[in-house]
Amino acid sequence: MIKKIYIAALAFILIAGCKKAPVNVGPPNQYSSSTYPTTVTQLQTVLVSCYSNLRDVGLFGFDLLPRMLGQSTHTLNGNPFSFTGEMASCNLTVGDGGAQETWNALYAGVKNCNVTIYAAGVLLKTDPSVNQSDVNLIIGQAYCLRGWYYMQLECFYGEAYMQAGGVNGDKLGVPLYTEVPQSLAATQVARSPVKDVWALIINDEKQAATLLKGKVWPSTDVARATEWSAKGLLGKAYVYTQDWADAKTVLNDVITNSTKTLMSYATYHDAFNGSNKFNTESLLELYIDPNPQGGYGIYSGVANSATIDGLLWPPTSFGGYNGSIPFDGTNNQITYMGYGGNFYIHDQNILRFGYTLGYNYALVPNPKYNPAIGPTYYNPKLIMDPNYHQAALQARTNNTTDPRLYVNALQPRVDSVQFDGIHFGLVAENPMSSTYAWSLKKYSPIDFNEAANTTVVSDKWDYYLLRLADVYLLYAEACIGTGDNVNGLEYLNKVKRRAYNMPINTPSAIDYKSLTDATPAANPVSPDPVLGHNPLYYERWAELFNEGTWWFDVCRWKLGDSEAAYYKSAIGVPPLTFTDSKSYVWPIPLNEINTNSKATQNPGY
Amino acid sequence: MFLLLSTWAMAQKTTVTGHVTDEKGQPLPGVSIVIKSSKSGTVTDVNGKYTLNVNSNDVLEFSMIGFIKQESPVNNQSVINVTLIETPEALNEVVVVGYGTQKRKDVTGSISSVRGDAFKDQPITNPIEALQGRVAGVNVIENSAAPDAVPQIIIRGIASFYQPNPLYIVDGVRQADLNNVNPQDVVSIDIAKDAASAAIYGSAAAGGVILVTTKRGSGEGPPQVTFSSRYGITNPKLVQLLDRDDFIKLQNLVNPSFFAGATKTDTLANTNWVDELYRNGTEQNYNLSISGAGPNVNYLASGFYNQQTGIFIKNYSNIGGARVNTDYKLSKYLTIGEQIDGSQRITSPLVGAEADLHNAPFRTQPIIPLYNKDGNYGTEPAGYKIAFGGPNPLGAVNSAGAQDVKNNFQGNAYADLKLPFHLDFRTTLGYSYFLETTDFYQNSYDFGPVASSTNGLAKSYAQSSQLLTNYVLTYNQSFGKHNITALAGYEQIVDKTNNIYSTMSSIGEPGYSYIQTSASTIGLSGTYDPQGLIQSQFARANYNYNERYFLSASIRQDANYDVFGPNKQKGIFPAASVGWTISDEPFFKSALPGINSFKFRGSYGQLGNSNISPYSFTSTYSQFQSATGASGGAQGFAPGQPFQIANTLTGIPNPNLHWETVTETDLGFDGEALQGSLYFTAEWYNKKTSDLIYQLPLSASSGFSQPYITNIGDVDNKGFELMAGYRNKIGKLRFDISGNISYNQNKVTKLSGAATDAVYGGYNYYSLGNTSFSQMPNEQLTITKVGLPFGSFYGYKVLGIFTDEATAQKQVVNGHKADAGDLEYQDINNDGKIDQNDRQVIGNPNPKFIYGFNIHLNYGGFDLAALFNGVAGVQLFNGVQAYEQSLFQDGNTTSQVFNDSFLGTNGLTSQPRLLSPVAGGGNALDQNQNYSSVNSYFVQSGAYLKLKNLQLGYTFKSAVLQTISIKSLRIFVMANNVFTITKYKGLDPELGSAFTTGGAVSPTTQGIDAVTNYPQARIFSAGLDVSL
Repeated sequence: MIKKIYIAALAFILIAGCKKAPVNVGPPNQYSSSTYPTTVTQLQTVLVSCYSNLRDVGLFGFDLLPRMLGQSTHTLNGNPFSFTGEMASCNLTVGDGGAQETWNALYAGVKNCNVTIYAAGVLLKTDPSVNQSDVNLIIGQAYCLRGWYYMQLECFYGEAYMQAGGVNGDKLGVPLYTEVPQSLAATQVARSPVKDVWALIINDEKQAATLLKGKVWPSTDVARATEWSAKGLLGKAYVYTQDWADAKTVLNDVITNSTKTLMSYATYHDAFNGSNKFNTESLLELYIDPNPQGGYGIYSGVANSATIDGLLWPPTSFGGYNGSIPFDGTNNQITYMGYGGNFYIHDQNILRFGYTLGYNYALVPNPKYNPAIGPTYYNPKLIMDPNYHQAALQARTNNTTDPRLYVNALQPRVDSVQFDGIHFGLVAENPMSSTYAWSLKKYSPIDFNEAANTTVVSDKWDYYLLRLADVYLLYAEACIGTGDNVNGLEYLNKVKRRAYNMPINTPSAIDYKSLTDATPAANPVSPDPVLGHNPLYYERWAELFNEGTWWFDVCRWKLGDSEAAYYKSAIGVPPLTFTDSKSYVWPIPLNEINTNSKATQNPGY
Repeated sequence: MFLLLSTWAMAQKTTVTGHVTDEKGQPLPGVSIVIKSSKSGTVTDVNGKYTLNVNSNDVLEFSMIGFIKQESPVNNQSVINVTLIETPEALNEVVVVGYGTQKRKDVTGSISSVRGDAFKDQPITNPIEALQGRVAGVNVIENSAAPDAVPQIIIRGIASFYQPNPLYIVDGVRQADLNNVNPQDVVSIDIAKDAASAAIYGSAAAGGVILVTTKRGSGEGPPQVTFSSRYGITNPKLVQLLDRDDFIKLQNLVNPSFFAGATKTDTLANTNWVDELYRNGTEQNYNLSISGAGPNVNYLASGFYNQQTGIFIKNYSNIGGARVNTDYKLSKYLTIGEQIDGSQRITSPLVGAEADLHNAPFRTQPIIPLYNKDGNYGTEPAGYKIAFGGPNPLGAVNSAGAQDVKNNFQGNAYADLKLPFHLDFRTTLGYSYFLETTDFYQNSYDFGPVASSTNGLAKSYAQSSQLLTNYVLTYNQSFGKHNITALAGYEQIVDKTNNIYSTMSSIGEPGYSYIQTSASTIGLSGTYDPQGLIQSQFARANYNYNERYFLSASIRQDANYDVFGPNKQKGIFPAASVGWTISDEPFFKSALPGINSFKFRGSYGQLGNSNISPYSFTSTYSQFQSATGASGGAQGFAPGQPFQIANTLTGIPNPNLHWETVTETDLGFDGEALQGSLYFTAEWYNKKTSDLIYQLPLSASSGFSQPYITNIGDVDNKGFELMAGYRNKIGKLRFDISGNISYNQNKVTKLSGAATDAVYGGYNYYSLGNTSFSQMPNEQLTITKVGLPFGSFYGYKVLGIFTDEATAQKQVVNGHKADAGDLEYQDINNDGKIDQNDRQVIGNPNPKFIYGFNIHLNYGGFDLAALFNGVAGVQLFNGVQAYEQSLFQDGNTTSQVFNDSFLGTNGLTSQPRLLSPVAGGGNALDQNQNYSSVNSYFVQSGAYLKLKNLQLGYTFKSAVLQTISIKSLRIFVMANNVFTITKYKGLDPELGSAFTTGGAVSPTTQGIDAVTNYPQARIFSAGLDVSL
């Protein structure tokens, strides 16, 4: 009997041992590349990565605007730690961390777009009954963003801008990946000629415009690319390559048919700090959510929709508390509404916007000072000389300064900010500057303290990837390029009129009379020999200040030397110079050289 | 002539009888008794008795395999009783080989054995530690005194970027590690070092195979009860930092503004942070076992408990476990049995902000008190210009808590059925289960400059199980002098994992329970994966003729279904070996009679390595990770709308990814001389790993940040091993002395497919993972490329220290001209400046020689054992020295700094200068990068000889004990890590891979002495062994 039990047990052990060999396995916590996606909803998630990648540290997430473009265009001035010194000097090394980050992030974006197009193909193949037009909308968005990523890549790293008639077309552009590489060999890609890169960008935007044609996104999906995003970017590509005729046609289409209009001045004034998102002017906008889901902005351990540029260029304010004791209203006690000591707006920009009152105001005893309270930020002992204060306000109301200065910057002791998100305090002189010491306003935390709030660390505002004012200016440039100076001037003036709070389509007193008319940059305090008499250049600089486009204009128009001469200096780096043979192009990053056997370096590096 | 005559004269026939026993008095059957002069003789019967007709002047020679040969002259005796003494490396000792056993004398591969008795009282909880210094070619490194530390083991050199650990086979069943095996349960450990011995385990055996046999009950009679315990004190080796006065003295030289004009600095705190964070630890161990046997059953039950408190405050680890081993003989044909083993380890690990253990917490200041007057954790005293940006380390430790519980169960059952035709069928069913839970609570904290207003809790639950089944059919038969053993088998291993990792911020109450609040955010991830599957077939044949000529061959096919893609899952691993016991040849016996045994052997075999994560061949869609991580995993598309999840492809599939193949040739000989008193083994091997697997970084422009895992290179390990011992008796003193030494040369011979041909590794970390916050920020320490060994140190070569300013000024580092007292670096490309292009190979962390000595002495009741181990021909990177001789950030340093050149009133010394003079007065810190570049000043010889363990015991005479019913009692005292002879300037030259835990080997970060390493310690213990 016992033996039978044991024999039965033995038989059981034998049977327990049979397991069929699996045919195809993959990690169970991830989707298989051969079968995913199976629905349009799943395909949507693949597309989302094309957008969320825009918040990478090397793009809008943290570094691109403050540390790279802000420094290299001298929008900002600040401490040259890490790679920012190289950027401020416009003298990069091949190991430059900023050039590396941006390269990586842009190509990750290209890859994500390619994956989306590939995944759409898989879905159509595995489920032919799927809604084709839904899939087309997804592919269209992927093409639109891929074009954007490639345009950025070409503009930063391509050897030269292509010019009218295909000049420079045979110089080296960037490596092109039109599909997801499927092997190691497919990741060793040489740089394509400049003309091929632009052809791809133009083709991508054309395809995007076709696939997205007529689509109006519901309010729940308002941040998605549209036909008009694609056409606007297409127009920009034509302008950047001096194809004026095509540029005019497509940009005019956007202006005429997109239903987009320049927003009012009042809306415009508050459209860069968290209000007025997705306004009438917005053509492509990166949505940012102020709640980083418990993490630290883009350093979150949890998925979010956050960026933290504002930490790097925050305003300074007299407002603040030591525990429950209010700050004393002097420069010894100020609040940084982000990290302290990184960047502030470069003083030369205050002048270029036409502010002529200087910075030598006296501090005088506060007639309203209440000794019973003692010195606090709301009861300071000393205040700005009232005469200067009055003159400063008049410069605004009289429009003797370009009003866009006040969209972009905060004047010490005149403007106020909500330093803790609740209380108002005057803006303080930024201690990094010994002259104007204004704070940056555009894309800056003016009504909350981004650093102090340890549970919510994210910017509040969206970033415009393209807005109609840019299209107007591109259209103006295209008109001028074709010799149509009348329309060119008119579209420059439309943008200017809005900034001066005047009817956009009605001629006004502040209109430029010619393409060489004086601009606010021609002011006597610090006349700018280039922008001072070039409304096209000035308007692109002033209107799109700190929006990440000026560097490309500097490079297209070869303004490096005059810009360096105008800005003169930056903190912690040698007196500014520009190396024409090198500085207009960023280096192909070391990491690419080390991982791509076909990579070749740009001249000068 | 005289001999002949005397033989003739004394030729009187007589009969001798007697009986032969072993040392325990047990009769020895089968002992051969030969009359030396005539070569005729007899053998003992089953009772060990013999009768022989001899001449009265004959000399009898008693011999038996496994015992020292003994001679006895007849001298007219009629009764000659003999006690034979076992030889140490008994050639008839049974050696565990895969799926079976062999007699030692029949082994043709390279297998070393260590008996459990040798290490049962060493203060260890992991049997791997017992191998240190005892086996040639096996490099065991214990580089940490952490209470749950797992030693690193490398057999015959590093052979892969994914260096596999050895395959552990416990009683015939695979185990992931030996961390839960009670060393006192171990009878023997057999180490299969060459490919031929290991090839029967095919793809799992590239790191060698370690076969552990646990104890079983034996001997009829009442149950045997043994109890042992020990208790010891652990004394850490630590760096001491400057005290307040020296700290201020240094700051007055380096940063004169900090304490300028300060008069009452004597009122500042004088905190010794090392003393506050470290302490003496303890180790205690208790072991109880009960065993016995009957006619048809044998059993063993044992239990143990080990408790260790770490040398770092709040750190401890306790493990307890039990084992039951039983065999039942159900009939003449059927035997079944089982081994069951369970254990639990509870650890309180190091956690908290900046909890990476710093063998001195360099980022502290003695002038910061433990606590401020208001009771809060101490901060920088006000009124000085000095600033401190770090946390209060005591506060950091106390504001976090963690517990880690590892539960382990291992059980296997077997049935062995004897079949007709000399066949034997054995099946084994093994099941192992592992569950680890962790809880980590981080409280909010405020240390002044470092604060977090939110708390958080992380909990994880990770479970894995393995079901192993195998069936082995064995054939064993002799035809005359032809002896054949053959086996064929099938084995299947099914692995399952199931885990969940969770976090919650802003929990309601401190502790290890989740209480959600409005501010809470939750993170979750987890996987259930039942897909791990390996299916294997194997066969082996052993043949010998007359136990003199040996042939063996084996083959195994493994199919690994989740690590390699379709078409690449299967690997075939063959092996063959031969042996020749030349000492059995008549010509040898006559030529070298002193050598009683000598065997040549040679082997060749192939193994596979698949020690990579499963699914590395696939590419999948998963949540998008941007450069900074998870943030990019979603995106909003309108205010107020939920975020949408972002997925994308993470890499490029590599369907061609396949096994690394290790091909090894081994030639050696084993021998015994002087009747077995002298024993020795020597061998040479050549081990080549081809198709080395490596994570190739993809081009940045591909957009993929995950590396491409592919087969790209080859590496060679060549070496030789020697082992020799001598055992004998002088009067009452019995001794056994043995030594071993091995030489290995490691060289990468191919590394292709990468755009650049080198692989870099290692940082001189202060905080793990933070490459920029360190004495050598962002600088990698090692290079691996063709022609070099794994992980060679790579940096500037120091030619000396500049003695005069004029010469020094010719060297430019980072735009700065050097000064007298700065290091002179070799300018390889002669471009007048020292930069990245002047880096070169400056050291090799792979030891050329490893060696060990064992001494066992017995005298009366006393026993003394000493275990030495050492390495030679190795360099270490003394990263800690860069912190000891300069000043780290806003922290502290050691008194060594005062020996720096030109510091204070110093002139030129043997240490490079810390301060560089600045034009116009004042100083700048280390402009020549003496202490902040990777250079050969920090590369030092790591050769050492350690007295690893010294143990003195006394066993009481049984007569005394029997009155209290104790069979035997032994008491002992012991010291571990007694002393180290070395020229190395750091705390301890025994260094493994930096930054890895759990015994993993990181081939590119060997020999790096970093401040994040857990310090080493000495242990002093006393204990007792009792048998009832």
